[in-house]
Amino acid sequence: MEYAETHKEIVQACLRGDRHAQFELYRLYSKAMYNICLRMTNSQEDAEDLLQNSFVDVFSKLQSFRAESSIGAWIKRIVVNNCINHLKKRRLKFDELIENYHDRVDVEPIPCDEAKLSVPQVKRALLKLPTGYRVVFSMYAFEGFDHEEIGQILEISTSTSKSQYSRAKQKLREILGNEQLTA
Amino acid sequence: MNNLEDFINKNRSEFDSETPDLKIWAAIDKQMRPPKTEPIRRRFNPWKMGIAASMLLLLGLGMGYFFSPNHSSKEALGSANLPIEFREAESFYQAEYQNKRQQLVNYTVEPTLEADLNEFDQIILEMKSELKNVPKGNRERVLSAIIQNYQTKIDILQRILDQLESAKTAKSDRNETNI
Repeated sequence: MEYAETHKEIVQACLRGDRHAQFELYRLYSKAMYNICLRMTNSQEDAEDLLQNSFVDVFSKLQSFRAESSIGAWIKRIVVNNCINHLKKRRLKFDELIENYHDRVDVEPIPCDEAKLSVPQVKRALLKLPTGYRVVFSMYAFEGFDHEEIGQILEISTSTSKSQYSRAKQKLREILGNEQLTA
Repeated sequence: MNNLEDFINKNRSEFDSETPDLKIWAAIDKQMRPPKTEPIRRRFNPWKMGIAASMLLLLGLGMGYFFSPNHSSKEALGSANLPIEFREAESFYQAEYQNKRQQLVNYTVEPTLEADLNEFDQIILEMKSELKNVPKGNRERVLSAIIQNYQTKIDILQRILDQLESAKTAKSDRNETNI
């Protein structure tokens, strides 16, 4: 059976309220979605709440899913939107949050040796990024959104998304460089 | 300089290393469950069809095994060797099942229930022992079929509990109008 076809069948069964199919859909996507929530919120408790609410949204909004995107992309969009709304509720405004950081220039950034990167190192560094940077960076480098989509979701311009992304990347390199130095 | 992005892309799955706790599924499932107003349906065994489907799946996969090129590479597969997600799901559903059984002890239930439930246990056992013969790529499907059998067992008990519950409320409603 085609992979995409299997998913189509699962979606249809979910629409009929089939519990097994709902569990199957959850089983297929929950891990990836949970890790998105963790990267976005940097909090296990928040990530768990967001995962739960997002899947309830997924099942209750499923009839509005049109097969123009894959079900995975559709679920991801719900999860990311919920994460952003959650962060927005916590802080004032996204661009304010972002603005706070970009004029702070560190004295002498230590270059990081990108050949020596490790997954745990990058994970740790990512969590040290200011929230606004971490969100833009995660959406682009991890979740594969383009700057136009990021702009739409965060309600910022495409060019702001681009500049925030490059600043986030530079900041990440700095954090990694510092860590490599002290390691 | 895109080494950082390249590094992330190459190691993407390693970045997604955390597994959500099963209590999250339990909470979602609870929220999704419609209110208990279903009319009592007369006894017909939809879960028997589930058993038949499981058997067919097992047969199909077993055949796949005989036709697969590397079926000589047998390995032992106890529960301990199964993926952590499966083991967690299994113990979650077992606990859920015990919990529902416990709620039922004070009621008299149809004598065939025990036999039906045993049939599921039998199927689960067979599927598990058959796992070692199933080609690696197909194991996922067998595991999810096993999980479905656990879920169906719980569904059966839940349905019985719901029926008993609605019979009870109907009775107390009558008592109240009598007063």
